[in-house]
This record gives sequence, C-alpha cells and structure tokens, in this order.
Amino acid sequence: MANQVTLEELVDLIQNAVRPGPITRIFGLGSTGINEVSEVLRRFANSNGTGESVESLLGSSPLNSPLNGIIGIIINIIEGFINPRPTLPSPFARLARANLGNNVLMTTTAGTVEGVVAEVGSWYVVLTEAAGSTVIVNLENTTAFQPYNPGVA
Amino acid sequence: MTFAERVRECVGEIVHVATIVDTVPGILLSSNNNFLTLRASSAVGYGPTGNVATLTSSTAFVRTTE
Repeated sequence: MANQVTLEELVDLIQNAVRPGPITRIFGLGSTGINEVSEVLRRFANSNGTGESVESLLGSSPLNSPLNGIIGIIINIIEGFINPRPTLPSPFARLARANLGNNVLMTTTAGTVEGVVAEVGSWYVVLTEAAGSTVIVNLENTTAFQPYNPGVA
Repeated sequence: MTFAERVRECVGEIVHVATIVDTVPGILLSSNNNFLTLRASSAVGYGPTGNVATLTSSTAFVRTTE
C-alpha cells in the first residue's frame, strides 16, 4: 500500500521546492519573500480543518499585495491536490432548476430515482419520492435526467 | 452548498447511502468532501455493527426516511 502523505508533509515538500528552486525563479522571490511564503504555508497547514479561508490567512500576514497573489496561487494549488472540488455547477443543475416542483427521473451510477424536484444546488438535487422519503442526489454521479409525468402518455 | 454539506444536514438520521456497488443503511454520523460516515448495524443488514465510511465522490445518492 502506498504511504499516505499528510498535509504537513506536503507543505514541507512545497516549502523545500520554494527555497532556491524553480518556483522561486518563476515568481522572482527574494529571500524575504521565501520566508513569508513559508510562514503563510505553515499557517495554512495549521489551519487545516478549521475552515479558515485563504483570504483570512493572507489578510493576517504582513505581506505586500503582489506576494499575496503568489501565495494565494500556491495555496490554491495545494488545496486542489488535497481537496479537489468542481468549481462550475453541474450541467444537470440548470435542467433540474427548470423542473423545480416537477416529477423527474434521474439515472445515477447506483440506479434510477424518481421524485419531485424540491431543491437544487450546484452539485446536488433533492427529490421527494412518492412514498414521502427524501433523496439527495449527487450530480457528480448522475448520468441522465428526464422530466417524467407517469399520468401523461 | 456542496453535496457533502447538504448531506451533513441529515446527521443523526437513518439514511441509505447508495454507491455503484452497494447500498449502505445506517445512522449518518458525519459528512465531508472525503467521506460519509455511518453507524451501520446488523439489524439493518450491513454486516456487524460498526462505522462505515463511504467515499463521498462515489456516492450516487442518499435517501432519508425521516
């Protein structure tokens, strides 16, 4: 089994890469900038799970704004590795929103569910089934969406 | 709001978590972008009593009956 890399180890790797390495050359950071980048990355590692935003981390640092931009980019890259999340809404969200209150069929990787669209998020749809139960559908694993009125031929 | 955040509103409820290979019934303990965690019991048909973590990204839907 492959070893699991912790967030702290990942940050260490990035910090080592930042030192005289390629990132330094790409962003043109001096030694002061490198220390500041390391400080914010350390703070980021300590903030994991607290919900503290990148903006608040940067806001509490004494950094000047161009460096903030660079650190923000690096942190966003790390966050992308740690916790990849789709940023755009699912294409199904628009279809579902247009069918709020209507009965629909949704085909997922675990089968088909049917119900009235009660709520729509960027990557989920809440259906109310005929039996009264609620189904929260993950649009990431949805393959088809169909308005469906069994009373109409 | 993400799928995981919406599911988190059901913590404490009896749910059925449907994945591509199985449906796991149990009491929802937690939900985040990595895992949905349930307390499953033999009474609801999923092996011995214990916590079951399913990958959030592999979850197709969550059904609640309450």
